[in-house]
Amino acid sequence: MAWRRIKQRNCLIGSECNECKTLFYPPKLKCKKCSSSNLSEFKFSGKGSIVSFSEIRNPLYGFEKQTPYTIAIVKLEEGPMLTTQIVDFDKIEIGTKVESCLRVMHTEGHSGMIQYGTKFKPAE
Amino acid sequence: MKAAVIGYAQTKFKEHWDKGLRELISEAGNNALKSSNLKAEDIDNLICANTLAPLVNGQSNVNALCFEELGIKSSVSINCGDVSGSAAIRQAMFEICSGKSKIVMVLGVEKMTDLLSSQITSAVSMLLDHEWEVFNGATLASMYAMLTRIYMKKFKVKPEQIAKVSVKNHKNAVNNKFAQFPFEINVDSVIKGPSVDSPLKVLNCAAVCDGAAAIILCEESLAKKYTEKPVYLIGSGAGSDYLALHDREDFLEMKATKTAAEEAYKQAKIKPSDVSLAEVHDSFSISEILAVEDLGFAKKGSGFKFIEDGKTDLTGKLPINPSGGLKACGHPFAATGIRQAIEITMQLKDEAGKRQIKNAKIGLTHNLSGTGSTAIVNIFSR
Repeated sequence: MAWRRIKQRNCLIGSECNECKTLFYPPKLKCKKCSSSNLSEFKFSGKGSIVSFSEIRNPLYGFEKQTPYTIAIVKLEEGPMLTTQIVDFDKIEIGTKVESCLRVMHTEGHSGMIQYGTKFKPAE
Repeated sequence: MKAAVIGYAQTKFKEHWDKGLRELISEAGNNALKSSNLKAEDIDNLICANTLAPLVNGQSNVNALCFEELGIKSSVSINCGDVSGSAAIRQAMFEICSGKSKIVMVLGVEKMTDLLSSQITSAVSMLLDHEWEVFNGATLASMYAMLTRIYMKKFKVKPEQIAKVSVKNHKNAVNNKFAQFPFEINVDSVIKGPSVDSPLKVLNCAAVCDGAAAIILCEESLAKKYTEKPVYLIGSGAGSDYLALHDREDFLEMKATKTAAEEAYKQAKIKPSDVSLAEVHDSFSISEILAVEDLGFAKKGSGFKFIEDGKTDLTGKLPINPSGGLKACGHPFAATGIRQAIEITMQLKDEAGKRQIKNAKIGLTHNLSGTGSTAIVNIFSR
């Protein structure tokens, strides 16, 4: 369920391993590096750069109205990578600096839930 | 102990408007029995591979449909995405080599074309990480599109060079009557064709379709009873990686493929250079290029050149996707791994007609799930 991840998604809360200090986003239950289960929450700055991107012309069900839209893998300045949409841009390329922003992700029909999530835009 | 392939059959891969899961299962399954002169009662167990029926056709429990159509007394289903067909063959090997079963049928079936475009895009994108990729709008094609972009930039590859993969595979499919697209295309038609998720063009991608494929495996010692030329499954390996691309250590090296290949080569006691032909997972052109590298046929960053130079053509040093691959055969998810095994079996038995490769001794299948979160490599010999 989408509500379960609201905090992690909308506030960019990931994890930090208390043993080896490795950072993770999306959050992990176990450290990928040292296998420790001793992790705490870590808030990311929301600044990063584009690793790769694609303009989607064949959308998912529910995303038809916003097509075309741009999906990207962004490397956060703290290290981890995530998959996100890029918005509010004229031109982007691999390496473009971006920052996070809260946006509507999709809506379910006329009277359904409005899903919010984090997208990224070129950094000011 | 080894398992041997003693029978095979497949339906044509295409949009079967007039056929459902039942008709597809019946055609492939019954023809596989006929091909080895076996009856349903001779089969100890059936392993059914299917991945999308619960969502696309509202049908779970697909192995029970197989019982209805084929009458094989026991069956189970396997679902691990589009690698399910190869996973089912691997499970049959375990079953036979453990002594539990003597003869096993493996059947993969998929009925994908009953949905609207965005619905099937959502269905195939279930193979990705739903919470952290798909929620944000990512599709299966867009993830491969991003991999393609990274590869092209890192190794300075042009779209014309990526297009060679599809051109070769379409050329091979001309002589495959079961292929969805048995016709030639050229580099121009790929790069000037319609765009999908950038930088991909339509002809860089395998298409969804309907189809079923079945093979029958038995214990090594029984094989000659059913066929003059059995083909043996001499090695199998499986590998896993993170579901989401953004969690992987290296985007351009599929760890799952490397893990699977290492295990399969070890069991088969062969090196990559011993392989005479391979069927690899070209759901998108980039996945064939990465497979060629990660299976050890070409160095990292040179896979595209290996293909461009004709080394993987039918007449090349190492023919890859002589059937036409997923690109030209079509990709009915769980049927694909079994379709690949059928091509290798035909080639090793000298039954591949106009696309026969001379002196084929060892053939390999490489099959992926999603963007490479699961990989299975099966190796066959005469």
